[in-house]
Amino acid sequence: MNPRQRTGLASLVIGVLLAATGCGETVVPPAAPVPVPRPLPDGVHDPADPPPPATTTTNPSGCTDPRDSYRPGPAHGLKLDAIRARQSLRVGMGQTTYLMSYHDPVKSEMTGFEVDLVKEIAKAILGDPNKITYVALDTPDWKAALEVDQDGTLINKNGADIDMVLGAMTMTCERWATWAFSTEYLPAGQRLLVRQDSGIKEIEDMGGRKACASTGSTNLRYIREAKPTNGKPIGVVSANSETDCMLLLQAGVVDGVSTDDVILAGQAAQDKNVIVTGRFIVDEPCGIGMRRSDVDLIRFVNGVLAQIRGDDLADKSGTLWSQFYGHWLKDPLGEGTVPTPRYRD
Amino acid sequence: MRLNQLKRWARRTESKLLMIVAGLVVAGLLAGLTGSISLANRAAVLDDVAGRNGPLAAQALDIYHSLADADAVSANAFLAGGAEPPELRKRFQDSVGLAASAINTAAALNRSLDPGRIPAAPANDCRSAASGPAAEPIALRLGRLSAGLSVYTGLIETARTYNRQGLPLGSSYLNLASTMIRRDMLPEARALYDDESTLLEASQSRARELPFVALPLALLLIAALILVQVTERRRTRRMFNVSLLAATLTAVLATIWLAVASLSAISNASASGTDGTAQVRVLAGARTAALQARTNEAVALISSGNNAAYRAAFDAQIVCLRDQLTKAKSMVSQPDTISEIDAASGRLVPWQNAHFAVGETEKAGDYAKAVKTAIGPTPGSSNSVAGAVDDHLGRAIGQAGARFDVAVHDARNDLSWAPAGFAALIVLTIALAVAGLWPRIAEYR
Repeated sequence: MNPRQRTGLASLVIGVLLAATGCGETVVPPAAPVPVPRPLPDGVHDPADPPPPATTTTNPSGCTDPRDSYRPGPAHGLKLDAIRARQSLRVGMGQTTYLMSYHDPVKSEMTGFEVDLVKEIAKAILGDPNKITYVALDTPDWKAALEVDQDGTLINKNGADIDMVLGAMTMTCERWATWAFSTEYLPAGQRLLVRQDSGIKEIEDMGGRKACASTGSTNLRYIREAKPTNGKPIGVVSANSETDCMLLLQAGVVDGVSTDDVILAGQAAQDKNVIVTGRFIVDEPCGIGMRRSDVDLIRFVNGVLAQIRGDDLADKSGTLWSQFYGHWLKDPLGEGTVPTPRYRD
Repeated sequence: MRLNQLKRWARRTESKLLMIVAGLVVAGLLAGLTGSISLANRAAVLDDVAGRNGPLAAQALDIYHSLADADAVSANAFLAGGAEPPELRKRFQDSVGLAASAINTAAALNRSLDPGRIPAAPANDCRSAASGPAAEPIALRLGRLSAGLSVYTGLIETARTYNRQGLPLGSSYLNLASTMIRRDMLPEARALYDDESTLLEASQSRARELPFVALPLALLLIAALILVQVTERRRTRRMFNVSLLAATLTAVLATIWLAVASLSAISNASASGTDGTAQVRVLAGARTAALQARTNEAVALISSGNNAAYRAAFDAQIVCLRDQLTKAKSMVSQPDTISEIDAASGRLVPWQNAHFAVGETEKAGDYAKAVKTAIGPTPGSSNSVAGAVDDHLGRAIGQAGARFDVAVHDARNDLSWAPAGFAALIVLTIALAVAGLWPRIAEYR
């Protein structure tokens, strides 16, 4: 081994020792990129689960048009008297649907189109629009609160104690088999909520883009059935609620939300960058849900609704209905059409 | 040297004496080395426990608790409506600040250990998920928590902005932020704390190992010295060899030092576990359950009408809290901590009553009164009771943490001079033994 080889070996040994002991220069490891968490609500399915096999919908006898209700009736009856004895109208409604039924945390009171309607009903029954008890009630709890047997007692003992339920509730023949409705108070339908600059006008423009609706809703079905003009399929995303869909739209995860236009109106009113667009993909008339045993109440409510809509008037512009609609829904949805009541008797 | 030459040499007394000296020197060096290394190792492990593992576990707990607190506070602030009360806003900011600084401190401590550490699978308590997050490098967990914290505060500010305008998207963003904390960040922080606790417990158990090599070797040295003296006495018919006697004495002293220092450190290290770490772990579980119950209660009110899941979660958390408190009480023997645990347990029934009252008031349709019952300043409100539970558990954790600090400090103090002192005494023993036998060898020269 010549001297040069020896020094080479020595420096190699020293180098290895330094490396092994971590002495010498400090090696700063490059910062590992940390995956930034993407906040998504719970229960988002992208793509949505395939729809359950279609169940044969039983069309109960006597229901040809779900808009058919009972003709207006007198101001007295078993239920009406019970409400007067109690001096309070108990109303089940959601508290989070902006512009329709919303508990305003700043004013600490209920506000919205449906709240104004209910106040008129309370005024007609009790003479005071503020004698209302609002019971927080959302779609999953409707059936338990409204389904009664022949004697008029609740089938589900845990059902909420209420006189009527509002919540942009779509009138259907299936539901008529379980509970009853007032006449139509608001014509609604499934439409689209999109970013203003997206160029989307109808559901058919959404080929190759993602649309969101709440899990288990019929809205998902109509998105799936749409035939996009560019031939590409629409990505169907489901979330726990329309509000969660709105969060996904704001975050840019989806390009559209599809449900009742009156619900979309509340979302559009909170963000100037999104608009309600498109035709009614399907009609979803709104009625007040009541128990089948309370026909006296249903008839009386229909009388109040007839007054509000101004059924007898040729010019509807001065009616309470136009006033309420103009105040709450005209901005996001445009001019509204006063519904025409239909009666089954 | 031929073999028979060697045999002849070995038969000479002078040679035998030389071999005895050599044997004593080797025995002395072995005992000295193993003893000093054992003592120094134990001291190093305790340094890690006191300076790194322990503080890291404490930081992990701080991260966890401050995130859970931020979640509970933001939900309560939201319930208060419109613009949230300044004291709640301040408490939220304090919690976020504490979480951020705890993440930073933990990252710095982690870098001073091995940055790629992957701990073993942790023990479990009453978390609902049977399988926790997989074992991962701690640096990655801390990075995700840090990134998550900034995304979380962004969501909270969005919620605040909408909420100030009285818009329902405020509650949607608050729910999203809360979901993110509870679904993503708390399990991550929890896994971090479990990881750190597991590492800390491993260090503590290394600090508790008996010196089962060093102590026998030291005893062997003493035995060898006594044996040499007995044979020397028989051979020379002299009563005492003063040097050898002194060597035995120093060897005995060194051995006693080794044994006492090690055993005392072991006892203190195990106290740091039973009176400190183990208690902190259970108490922290209880405190977390209490905070999450508090959040669920507020979120149940915020998402009124759609809150069965949150009510069920509240009930589950209270059950968990009760279990953890019972477990904690069975582990704790210190009266000050027991009284804090009892005080916290005593609030559970009032809390459940207040919670029930909130639910009934809300069902009856009086939302404003329900909110007041939940977050009002009266001592019976759900929020006040929950706050008291949190305070009691916080103090109990503080006491257990202080006991941990004291025990680890004591253990480390037991060892402060031991490695050097033990080595010095053994060197002295070797010197005295050689000095005692050398004149005997010289007689044959």
